[in-house]
Amino acid sequence: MAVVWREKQLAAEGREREHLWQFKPVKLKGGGLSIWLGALLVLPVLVLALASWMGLAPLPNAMDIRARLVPPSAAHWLGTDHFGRDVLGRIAYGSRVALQVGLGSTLLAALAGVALGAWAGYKGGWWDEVIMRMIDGLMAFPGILLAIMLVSVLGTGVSNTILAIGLANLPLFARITRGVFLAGRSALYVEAANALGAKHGHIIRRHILPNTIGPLVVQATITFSTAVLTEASLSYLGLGIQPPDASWGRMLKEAQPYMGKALWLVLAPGLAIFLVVTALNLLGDGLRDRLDPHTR
Amino acid sequence: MRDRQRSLARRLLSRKYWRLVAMVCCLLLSSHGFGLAAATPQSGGHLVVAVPLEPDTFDPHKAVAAATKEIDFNIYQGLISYDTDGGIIPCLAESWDISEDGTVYTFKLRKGVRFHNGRKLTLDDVRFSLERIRDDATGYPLTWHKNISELAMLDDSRIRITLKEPYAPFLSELADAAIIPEEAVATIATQPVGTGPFKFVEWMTGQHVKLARFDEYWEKGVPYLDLVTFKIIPDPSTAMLNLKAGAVHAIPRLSPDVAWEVEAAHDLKLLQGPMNLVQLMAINLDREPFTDVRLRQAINYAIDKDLLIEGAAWGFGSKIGSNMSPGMDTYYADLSEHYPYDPVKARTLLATAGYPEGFPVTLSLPAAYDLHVKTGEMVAAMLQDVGIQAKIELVEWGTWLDRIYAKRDYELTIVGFTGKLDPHTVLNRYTSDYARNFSNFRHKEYDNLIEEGLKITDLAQRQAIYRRCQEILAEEAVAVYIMDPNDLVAMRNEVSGWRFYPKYVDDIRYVYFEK
Amino acid sequence: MQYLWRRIGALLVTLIIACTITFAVFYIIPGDPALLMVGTEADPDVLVSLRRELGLDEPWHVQYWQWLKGIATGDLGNSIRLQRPVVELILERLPVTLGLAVLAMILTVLIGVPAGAYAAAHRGGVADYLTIFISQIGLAIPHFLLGILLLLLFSVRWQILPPGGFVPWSINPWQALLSLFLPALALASHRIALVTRITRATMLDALNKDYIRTGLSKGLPKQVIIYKHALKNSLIPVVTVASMHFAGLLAGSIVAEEVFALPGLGRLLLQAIGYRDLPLVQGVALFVALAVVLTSFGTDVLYLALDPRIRYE
Repeated sequence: MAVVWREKQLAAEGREREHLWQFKPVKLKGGGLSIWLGALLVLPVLVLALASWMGLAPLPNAMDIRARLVPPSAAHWLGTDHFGRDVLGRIAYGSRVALQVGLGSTLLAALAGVALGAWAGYKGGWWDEVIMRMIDGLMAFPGILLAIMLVSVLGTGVSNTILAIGLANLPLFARITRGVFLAGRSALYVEAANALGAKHGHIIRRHILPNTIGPLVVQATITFSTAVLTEASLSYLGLGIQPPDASWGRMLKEAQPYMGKALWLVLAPGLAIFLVVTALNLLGDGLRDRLDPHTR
Repeated sequence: MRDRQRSLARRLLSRKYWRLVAMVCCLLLSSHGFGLAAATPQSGGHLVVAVPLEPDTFDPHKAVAAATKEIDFNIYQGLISYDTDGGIIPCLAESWDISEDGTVYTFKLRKGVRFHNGRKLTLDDVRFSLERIRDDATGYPLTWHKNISELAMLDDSRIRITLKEPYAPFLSELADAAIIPEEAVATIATQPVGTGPFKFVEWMTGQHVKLARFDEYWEKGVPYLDLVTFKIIPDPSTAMLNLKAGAVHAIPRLSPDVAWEVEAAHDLKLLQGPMNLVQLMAINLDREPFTDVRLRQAINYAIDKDLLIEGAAWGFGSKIGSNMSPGMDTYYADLSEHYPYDPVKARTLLATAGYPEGFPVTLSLPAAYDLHVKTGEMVAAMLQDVGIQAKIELVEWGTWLDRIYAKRDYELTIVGFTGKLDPHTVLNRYTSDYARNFSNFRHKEYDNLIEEGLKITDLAQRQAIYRRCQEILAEEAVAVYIMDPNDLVAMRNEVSGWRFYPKYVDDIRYVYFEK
Repeated sequence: MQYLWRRIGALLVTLIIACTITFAVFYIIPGDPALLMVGTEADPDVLVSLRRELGLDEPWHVQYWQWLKGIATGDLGNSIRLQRPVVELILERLPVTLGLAVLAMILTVLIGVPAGAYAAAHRGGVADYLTIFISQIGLAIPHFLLGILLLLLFSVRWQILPPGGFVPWSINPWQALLSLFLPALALASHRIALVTRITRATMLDALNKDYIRTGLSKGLPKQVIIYKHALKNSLIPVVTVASMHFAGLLAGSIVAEEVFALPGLGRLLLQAIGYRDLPLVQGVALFVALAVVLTSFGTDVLYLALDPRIRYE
């Protein structure tokens, strides 16, 4: 939708330049529409998560074997599953889990990645070589494969899923930070500050870190969306969130034997995943436009 | 001359005719009980059976996976076998004698049996196979063979097996000892050669195992089919889609989750038989507070088995009350109502045992077994209803075997014990010194009874002993014995002749396509 | 040339680190493989001898060294459960996974490029908006969800495509292709959307270039210009993205194979994890990692050959 808007705007302005790698939505202060749209889409999920957290949503684990696979109705807005549990309640709980995993693993990846990348970039030399080769080695494993490997070692459950996805996403943060630090190290103003006898910590805080913020925020948004997707995949494979905790991916897996007669069981968690990922993608696009100077 | 021939032919025909009539009558009578339409078995055809798991190895003396046994039952045979009730019947041995004291078994070899490689079966093959099983280097996964003290060939058709001490379940365990030809041993793991009704064609890992009719099979009239393919499809919904599309003809041990699809489709049918599996929630008796029998009883009262069968198995199962399936009706003691569902009584027992507020407990579930996970989810909710704070933990099958089964590091866990033919093998696992007594159950009277049962051959006495054993397990609330799930077989309407056994096998011998 | 040598050096280091990571991760995995082999009826004596036979009683560094030596000679050990060489098992499953990845790649290019080009050529039209809209969905829908929906429509509702499972190439190539079609489509959805957008963007860029404008003003037919000249020039970044995504396709097939019950590497891996079949899990993980590293190396070298201006620092 944002794109449609953009096209019309461009046509009205008589401008025709398109960005090389992506559609750039119209700039209400740079990426504004994408950000607003993304926020709007993510809102229902936030509301659901909040409702579940505050106990306002239907109970996710209350079973009623006599009322199972009931289609959506006034009593159960999204129907019930094979144990007669309320699907809306489970979706709400699932959004809590998804946000928890997304936020947790993104934070973990960002903190660890930035620390490693900064160290490598700032120290340079052998440190740089060793850390970056390790990062390369990690990057040889596609994200989901690394997550599967780690989960099978660490065990399943919410915190281990966060740990696995966080570690799998760490390399990109390290690379971005290292790049900025490398560039920063040789930059004139840093050399000047160095020559003036400024402390390392001061240089990093004042001169280098600010430059990393933009790209890192963008990367964090993308990682958040990847994390939600990876969690769903892991749980679908039975390696992520474990019962009785509800998770969208696991709900999909559990719904599969009944999909011929209970379509809502597949559609509800499917739509939830789709919504969150779309929202985060839009947010990422918008933030990139606003914050990341390199792709502008 | 011609006339004589014709009349002879007519007489033969008529005899054949009467035999046929008798056969149809028998079929009608016998099939009446199962509610199946009678039809004449038709020869030929290619049957595709969906199986959920990959076989491990076709070396019958090393295979441990049930997934292998279910297929290789059609390839390999032992000296003896079992019928659909679990009774011992002759197979490669046409008869046998047992000495008074129950230690000397003499088997007489059947004549005219051939291996799939065309060679005649001899007593040397029997001795070779049994020696191979006894050899520690083979690593045979069962330990009964350690009881054999001597193997002796009396002449070219009789072999004598001497046991160190009487062992009542010997015959039922010997049924699993496949006889293989020595010359095929080097490649037996991937190129099996046996004496069974079907010979091996190919095994494409992850895809299928294909068998073909063995024309020189010793049982007359069977098998009917030309080809059988065991197609490996792990996901029950996918298997069901394949069945509906006609790409698969039968799904044994169907997941109850997709059974509704059979009822919804008019060209499919659902057969049910007993599975001979004991699904239980094991309790670690060495862990506090489970040392107190009142708490174990409280847990038993807190669990609604009828609801579990309905909720986790869609009603396809029978309630049990001790460690034996109702399928073993010779020895079975019905204790399913020993602990009726009574949450009030459960709470009272908790209170008298000093836990009025309940206690936290971890319920470990093997992730690979959907039925146990589903049961566990419901059990946790039921325990929470009486105040016991049950937390679910899912473990991989490998971890389960290692940590829970071998190292006994758990509080509660749900698992299924698969069918055995002899009550000793079924109940022996609760004796104090049994290597895998993972409930940590120690009970003098129970140990003595099991020991006694080994040495007695009188049926009535054995029945009394094993029924008492089951009662002890129930009284002591060693575990929560939940259900024997039904063995569901979904088939296309045109397939007939499926037989249920109290073991994890698929017998394709008698299966045929209806005209 | 010097760059190439440095790149090869880095490649070797990366490979060794990938091997080490795989070993380290699975060395600490819980569960006793020997116990798994003998199952619930295990006899303690058998267990001990089995552990010795499998080399499980050796210290970690001996096991690690043995393992590295094995890799160098193309020997990844034996599967514990299937008791066959890991390399053999991987090669057996490879036709499925590779077929899936390649078919997904073909679908990506075959659908993505024309769709993007068409959208660019009809910029602002209904088709353009529709393409953009659909590609936005393609970017956000998880491929296993799309797989389930496709299965529901094509195999359950309409029954025109196989309902999962796989027919080996050697038995019936057409059936094999059919059984891979839906999974490949689901797997490719994300990349199709991406390639569509990139093609559209680069085409629009190219259409703005002077030589195109000149051609247009000279009266060359519009269709020829768009589909011959502009498209040709915008293909380079497309190919770049396509080759970059090969790794993603390999990894994605782990999940796709589960949805469609395909006997590929992914299912081999998941089964092996379930059974704690350590050598097999290590082998598959390492194999995928090596494939990823070597593909990206190959792409780099190819660029170097194609565009001498590119220098990596």
